[in-house]
Amino acid sequence: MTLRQSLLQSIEELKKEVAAMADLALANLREGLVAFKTTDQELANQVMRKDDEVDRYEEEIAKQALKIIWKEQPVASDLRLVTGILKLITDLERIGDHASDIAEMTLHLDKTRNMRVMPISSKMAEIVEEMVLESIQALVKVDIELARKVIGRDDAVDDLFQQLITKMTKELKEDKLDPNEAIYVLMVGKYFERVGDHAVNIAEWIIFMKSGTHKNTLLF
Amino acid sequence: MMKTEKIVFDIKNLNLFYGETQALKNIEFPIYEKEVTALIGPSGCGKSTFLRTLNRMNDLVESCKISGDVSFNDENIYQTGMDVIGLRKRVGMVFQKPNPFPMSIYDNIVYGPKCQGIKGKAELNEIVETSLKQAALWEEVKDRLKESALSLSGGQQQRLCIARTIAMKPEVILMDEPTSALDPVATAKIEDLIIELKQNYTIVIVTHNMQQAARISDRTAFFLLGEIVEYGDTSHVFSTPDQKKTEEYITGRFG
Repeated sequence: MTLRQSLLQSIEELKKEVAAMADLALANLREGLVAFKTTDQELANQVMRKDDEVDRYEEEIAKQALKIIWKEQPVASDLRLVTGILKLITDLERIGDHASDIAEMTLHLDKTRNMRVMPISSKMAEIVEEMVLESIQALVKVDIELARKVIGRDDAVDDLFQQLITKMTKELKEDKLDPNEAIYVLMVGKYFERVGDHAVNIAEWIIFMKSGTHKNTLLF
Repeated sequence: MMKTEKIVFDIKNLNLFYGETQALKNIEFPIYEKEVTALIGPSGCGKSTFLRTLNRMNDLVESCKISGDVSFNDENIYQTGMDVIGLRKRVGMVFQKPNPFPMSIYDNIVYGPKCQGIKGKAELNEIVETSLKQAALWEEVKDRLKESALSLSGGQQQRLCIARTIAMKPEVILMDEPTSALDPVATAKIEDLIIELKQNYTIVIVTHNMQQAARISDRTAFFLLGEIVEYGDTSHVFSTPDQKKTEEYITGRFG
């Protein structure tokens, strides 16, 4: 008979809540990206309103995790799971924030935009969306190989951000890009880059959950 | 603090039988100087039996038979002609239920030294004060040393038993579930004392309380059905155990 039903149940509930938070953050990110690509300001406003829900999840999950710690004194894999979750919900919450930030930047753009910078932005958006999706899949399965794959993709995002800066500088010099538009497109690019970083952080905490090692340092 | 890594007990291929029943199987691991080594495992797994092999208390069980090596400071304690009384002076023991002698606090402490031939009042007084201070009991009892030890609380009695062991100037202190009969406050005092004592003594402790093992020990050995499943640094055993059975036991998946 498996003992400690109270602990097992608490852990299952915690995992479900984290999965729900992750799904919501990803959904908001996707909608934020669509709003940016299509300059859909109504969608952008919706995304901004939904960010409060992601924040509420973070608080609720933190409370549940702390309760498990004081009540059940978890050790070994249970301890690594609960403490890993306490860390990565911060990154999920930040992904939610950046989805809202991207949506907010969209409100400053209009339909008549310089679309020559868009292929780079779109490529960044595509990659970070995949990274977030894969980090969530890795989290649900505690899949270290998938987590490592996510970490490996971050360089591509950073490279694209550099390409975006280069392209935008060129467009500005040639007077083909409105400086007002440039500011917001650049900020969105920076938010994409940060979302990629947060997906990497989540992946690193997943590796910790399995091995106790974070960024090649044993934390115990 | 840097560990010395000096081995005090070296156990090799230890097997123990009570009659036909094998209680310990191929036990093999070292115990290091001035560390706390915790022995954990479910009831009946052999941890107390193992503890008692370290000071030959199992000799008192008629049906008990042992094979293998138990070396204490490189000397095989089961060799013919071993001074068992001398061994038990150097390897003291504290039991689960506090067992003060039915005499005064003072007489409890000096009983052992007197048996060793120490007679001088000044020397005996010094032993009493030093031992009770080391056991963190002096301030509580210094003004009533002539009172009966049985008038002390359970936690105080257990610290008296530790002081009584210390009075014999052991090198090792064995503790068999020393706090399981005590309340949480008394338990906390004993745990603080153990952490203090390991600066001067090697301590081996059997405990059913895994959080206690995690709190106070440097190394942990997990016993199951008379065998050692895993032995290592406590931080490793409780964070990333190597063996699935260890993980299952310490996370409470089975008992």
